[in-house]
Amino acid sequence: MSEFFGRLETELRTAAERPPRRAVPVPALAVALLLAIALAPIVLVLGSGDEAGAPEERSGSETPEGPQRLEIPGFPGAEVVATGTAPVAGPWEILTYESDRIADPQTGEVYQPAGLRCLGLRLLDPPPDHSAGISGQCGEFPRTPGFSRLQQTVPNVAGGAREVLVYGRVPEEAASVRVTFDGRPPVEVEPLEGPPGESGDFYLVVSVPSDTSGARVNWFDENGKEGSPGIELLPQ
Amino acid sequence: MKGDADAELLARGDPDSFAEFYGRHVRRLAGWLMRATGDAEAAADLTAETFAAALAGRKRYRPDRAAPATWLYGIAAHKLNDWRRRGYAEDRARRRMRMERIELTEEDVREFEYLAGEVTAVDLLEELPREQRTALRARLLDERAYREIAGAEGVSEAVIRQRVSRGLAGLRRRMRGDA
Repeated sequence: MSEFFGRLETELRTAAERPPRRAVPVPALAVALLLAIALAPIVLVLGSGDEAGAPEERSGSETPEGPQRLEIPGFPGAEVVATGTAPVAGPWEILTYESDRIADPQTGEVYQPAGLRCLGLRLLDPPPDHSAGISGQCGEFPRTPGFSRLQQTVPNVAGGAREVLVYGRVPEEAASVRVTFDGRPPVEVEPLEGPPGESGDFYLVVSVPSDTSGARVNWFDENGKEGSPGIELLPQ
Repeated sequence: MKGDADAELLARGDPDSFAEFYGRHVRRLAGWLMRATGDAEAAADLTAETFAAALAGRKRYRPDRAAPATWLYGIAAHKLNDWRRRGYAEDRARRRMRMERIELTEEDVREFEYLAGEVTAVDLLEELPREQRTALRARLLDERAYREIAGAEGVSEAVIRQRVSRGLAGLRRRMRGDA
């Protein structure tokens, strides 16, 4: 008689009786930096092709204890934490990484300190008229701890939007993430489970292009209660 | 417990209810994954990962969106696609739920191989969307006329023919392990 199914049932029963992994607190360094600099988000977009600094092909591998590690110049410690596919943008990966120090070479003024935690989106097979590469942002959203909103627009030939990807971090307590618009139905998704060692989960909402004025994104708990004041979407 | 619907078992969320849900679906799901991967180790890892993810996400299940089996196979299909892309089965949900990886015995491998050939189209019917499932059952199992089914469902005969056609295509994909 096979043992596998009985042992798996035992594992599931045991797991059902204990709470899942809890969130890891935000590193104290990141909090201190957050308070100290009121954080201006820095967005880096690397183009595709042979340009210097373009992302390398995946060269890392997933360790048994953690998510898949990548080696991408300019994105130290990059790891894939969520994946999926969008209708126009195609397959995507959400990455975490740490910030590099960015300073004015003339004055020494620091625009971005090293060591902030960052989130990025990489399109693995983007449409022909959209550059590959990673767009991302470092730092926290102070008004919505644990919850962030980043956006990437897949443009059409004329420079308008074909698809808007709204993504970010979301606390583990979230049961859903919802984007609400003026005058049209909301779009709701379930959070994507983050790997151990990452604080919280992740989300990505695919939105059709439209006027995003007044549009907001927020997370909701199991009882449908709003988890934060919400964050406005960037204008198109 | 035995007579409870799958959705009730998921909503209840206690270990016994989830174990009942697991018992109803695990062998068919394992057979499906075995056919799709051709590898007992991969099928076992994906089976465990799917149920771990289902356990972790059972409170997020919404019966108005999909039947429990459809929801479960949706999770499995996502894990399977990930396995095809990466070349190995992820274990994020299992680690989150602090579950141990289970090594297969020779008997386990034989059972997975057996299950790969065991699944039937009638079993797979349950994985289809409700409208296709109803149309297929009425047409193929109950041998009712298209016109009669259309009348009962309140739609045109053409719609029923389309549902039957799409349902059959869905069954074929599932038999191949492509769904």
